[in-house]
Amino acid sequence: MFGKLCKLELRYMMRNFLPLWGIVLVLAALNGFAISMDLDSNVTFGLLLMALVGVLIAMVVLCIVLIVQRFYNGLLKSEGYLMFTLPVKTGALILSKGLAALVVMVVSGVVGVLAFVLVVGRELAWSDLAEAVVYLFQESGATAGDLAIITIVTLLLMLAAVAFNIQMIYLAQAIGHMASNHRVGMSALAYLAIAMLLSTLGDLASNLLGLMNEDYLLNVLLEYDTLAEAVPTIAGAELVSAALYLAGTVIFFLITRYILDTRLNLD
Amino acid sequence: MNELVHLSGVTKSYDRQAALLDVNLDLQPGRIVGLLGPNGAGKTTLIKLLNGLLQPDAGVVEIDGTAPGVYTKSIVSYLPDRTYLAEWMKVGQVLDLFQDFYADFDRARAEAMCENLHIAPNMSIKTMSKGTLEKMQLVLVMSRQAKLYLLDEPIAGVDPAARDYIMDTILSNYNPEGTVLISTHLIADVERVLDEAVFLQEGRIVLYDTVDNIREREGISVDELFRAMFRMI
Repeated sequence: MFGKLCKLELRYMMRNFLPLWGIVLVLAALNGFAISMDLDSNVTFGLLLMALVGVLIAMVVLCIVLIVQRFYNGLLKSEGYLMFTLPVKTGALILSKGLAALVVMVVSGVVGVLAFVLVVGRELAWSDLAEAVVYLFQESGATAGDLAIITIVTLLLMLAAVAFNIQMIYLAQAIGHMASNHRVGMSALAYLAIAMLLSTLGDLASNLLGLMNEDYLLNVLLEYDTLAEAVPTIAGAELVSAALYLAGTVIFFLITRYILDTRLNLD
Repeated sequence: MNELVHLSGVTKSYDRQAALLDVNLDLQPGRIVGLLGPNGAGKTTLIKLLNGLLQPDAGVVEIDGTAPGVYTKSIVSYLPDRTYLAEWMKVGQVLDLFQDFYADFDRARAEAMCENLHIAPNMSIKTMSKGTLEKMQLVLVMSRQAKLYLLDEPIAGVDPAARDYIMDTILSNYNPEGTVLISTHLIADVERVLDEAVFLQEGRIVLYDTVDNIREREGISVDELFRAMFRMI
């Protein structure tokens, strides 16, 4: 059943995003072509570049809007009468929406990178860039394995951070739903309150751990002679951050599920 | 203890205003039951509780011996008093959805009913008129061989011809071994099909009996009794 819920959510997301991703890539390719043909002083190029930037901004905005809207319209408004009477658990409803949102965010990120490559790709001396990266790593004493570890852990951290923020938006909406009136406004307030609470908790934890000194991280890293020696520390810090984000995601998910299970009151 | 629906001491309030007060009700399988009461009597709240869309403040709600949850949702077919289909979907996609999630959904029956109503599979939900949308939802709900049908105000706000269509669709498609609970305040239009009637007033059940008993005891129709009981309210 969970797979079917995911299919339903992704179908809706793809309806909106597939055309947008296509437009981004086509515009990026046209920009890249204009640059390679030395048309970058042309008015048409200026318009193409503006269009690309506009569509990229629209993609980011649409990601956020749809994350909010799919949860609000799909579960807390009239569609909720159908979704909450399907023979599935509330957790599956929340997870399917979160997973679809995560997929859209990740693919949008990949499309953004691809767009950059398409714009500057023809002009970039890829072999020189690769040589520079290899040189940098050789000089720092780091290996390809180190590079792979840092890349994987960084991607994991980014994924965990995105999942955390999606779930935070869901929790804020679930809290707002408990109000009798002005539920959208209450959701926004709940989001701000959660953000402030997290900020306060972060400061408190930093103080307790003695991390408030702004030079702390720099000093830690300066203790190492080479980048290779710092890799375990960097990767470890990123892993701890990812674990914290994931723990937060799970806590937000559990509270959201509890609210929807016990305090659901559709209009 | 073969009740399909069991409510015991059920109370539900909104902002300290009671919508249901100490409701006790047992419904047997294979009945068509009218949940009758004026606006604000608590009919929708009771149906939402049975669907698990609300949680009671106190009391026990059970369907087929189980609290509302995944199992009960698989045997309950619910028609809410509003549109619940996503506007972006097409008819075929909605049928896919019901087929995916409800094992008791009879797709061939649903397609045949859609065809009779001239609802094409590629028709968008967004383009449907209110009346067509209501009929579409009824088709979906009555194409299931459910143990319990919960129909919230299925004939409210529609013209008499549409009411006849709706009542005929319910009667010709429901699972005879299941129970149909129809909430309405338009008694005259449903009385002919009811086996039992539950009168709800200000969150309390004030009468629950078979329609035959009510007529025999009171000497008037259920509709007339309803009008007499709620005239002064």
